[in-house]
Amino acid sequence: MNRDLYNAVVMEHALNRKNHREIKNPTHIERGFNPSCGDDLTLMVRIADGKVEDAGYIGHGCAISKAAISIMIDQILGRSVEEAAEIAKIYLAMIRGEHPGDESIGDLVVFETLKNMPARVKCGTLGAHCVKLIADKVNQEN
Amino acid sequence: MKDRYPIFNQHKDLVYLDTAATSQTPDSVINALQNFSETAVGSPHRGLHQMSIKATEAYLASKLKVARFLNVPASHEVIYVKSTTEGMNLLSFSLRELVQREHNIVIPITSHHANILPWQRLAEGSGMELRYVEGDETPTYQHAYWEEAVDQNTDIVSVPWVTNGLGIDYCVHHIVDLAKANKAISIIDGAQIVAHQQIDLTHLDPDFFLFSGHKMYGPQGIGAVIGRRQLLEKMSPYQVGGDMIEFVTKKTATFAEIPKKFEAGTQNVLGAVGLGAAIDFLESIGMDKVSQHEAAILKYAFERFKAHPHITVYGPDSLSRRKGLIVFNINGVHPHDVASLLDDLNIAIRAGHHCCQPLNTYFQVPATCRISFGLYNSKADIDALMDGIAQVLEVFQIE
Repeated sequence: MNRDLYNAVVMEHALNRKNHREIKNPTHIERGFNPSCGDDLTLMVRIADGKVEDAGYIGHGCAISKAAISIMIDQILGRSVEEAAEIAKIYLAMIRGEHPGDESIGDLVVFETLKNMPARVKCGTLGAHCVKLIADKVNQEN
Repeated sequence: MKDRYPIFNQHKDLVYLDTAATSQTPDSVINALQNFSETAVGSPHRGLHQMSIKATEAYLASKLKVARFLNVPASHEVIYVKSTTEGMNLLSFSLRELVQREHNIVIPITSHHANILPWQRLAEGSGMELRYVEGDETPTYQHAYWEEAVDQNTDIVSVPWVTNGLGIDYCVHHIVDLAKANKAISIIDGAQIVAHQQIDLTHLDPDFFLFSGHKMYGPQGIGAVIGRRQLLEKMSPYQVGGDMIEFVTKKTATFAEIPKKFEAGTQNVLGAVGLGAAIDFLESIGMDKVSQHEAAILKYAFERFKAHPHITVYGPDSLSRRKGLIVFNINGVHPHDVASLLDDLNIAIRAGHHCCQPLNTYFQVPATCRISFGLYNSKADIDALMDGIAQVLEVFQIE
């Protein structure tokens, strides 16, 4: 059931727009756009000493895209860039059905059901792709 | 009418409200497709054996049905393509020698991408201006906006009879007349009208009329460009290759007469047979009855939506300017969330930009929901939809 995805954790992030804010002095900004539905979310992060010191997102999208980027932000805050990249990698593999959801990605496991919802995969992975792109850029900079 | 569509035997609770994207297939069309596949498969036009002759006959018989169904005038020819989109690409390519640099092409802002991108490409390649009819809050259907946009330098006016992204009925007679008065080529995208009301192309007399089979209870992969022969003769072929030639040497070729000049390669005979069967199906019901049935559902749904405190309806207020579909949003809920939650209840709606991004930009809404109607729909489907919308509101904690 698609409705299972609209559970308490997801709806809390979607309705309260948790982490929906512009952060101060971002070091990296990545815009994720989903042309089929118009989801348009921008991830902002501030990286200091190789760690994600602050992160937030702006823009508009469906409940799934907003909750997924918001929970992703909760998971990467305070982590090293490598750890954040690993979380995004495991999350994307989980949605491809190649990796079981486990505690290493925290609340992001609620999106495991997306592997059975091909129409919504793009919504749920917008944030993870932004994290991956930022991590790639950080690696190139170093 | 649902009992004529086998899909509802497989999916008994399906509430299908996406006919504007693609329609379901009735039993008689499925039977015709199967019967042809079992009795008459051959390459049309070129074989000398029985199977090829039968395929050629079936292909031509299908075109005669189209000509009768739409009352195509003797001045026009029916060309088969795979879809309205392919038809628009054909026209934008093949008309390029008939237009002038610094002249303009006029289309409405409400257009499907299939009525935008081909003209963007023509405009870019030929140095023409692509001009949009926009208008004010309820865009573009008032004739004054068209009179403002079309002028002596307009070479092409291309308009959807009914817009898939808004459901406006453009009542295109005035637009065809306006194009003629300015010596512009008139093109009508008939994809969203052809299964919904009687069309009389002899009376309308546009230069080109396009439609797709899969939005009128036929199969996917077949559509038509009905064009004025006088223009088609001056146009170069869109695709070249097999079956469209007269004589070929190592370096040169001359082309077959129209319509074959525009039908390169082995044609979709099975699709043509299905399209013909879909026309038989619609005619057996009668287009007046089809129109009445859909108008009643449109009115019912429109009134329910307008009275709903959490629904915003886009497009004209007047039902007389609407046809076949309603575009809306549930305030505070993204259309993709609406569609996913309704899908759990076996209610199929469309959500997204409906291939109309410039329209969405115009309205400043990134996406919308759309319901569209066919012969299998009833007021009970709208009741089920309203119950589904109540559940969506519950998930989003909207009271």
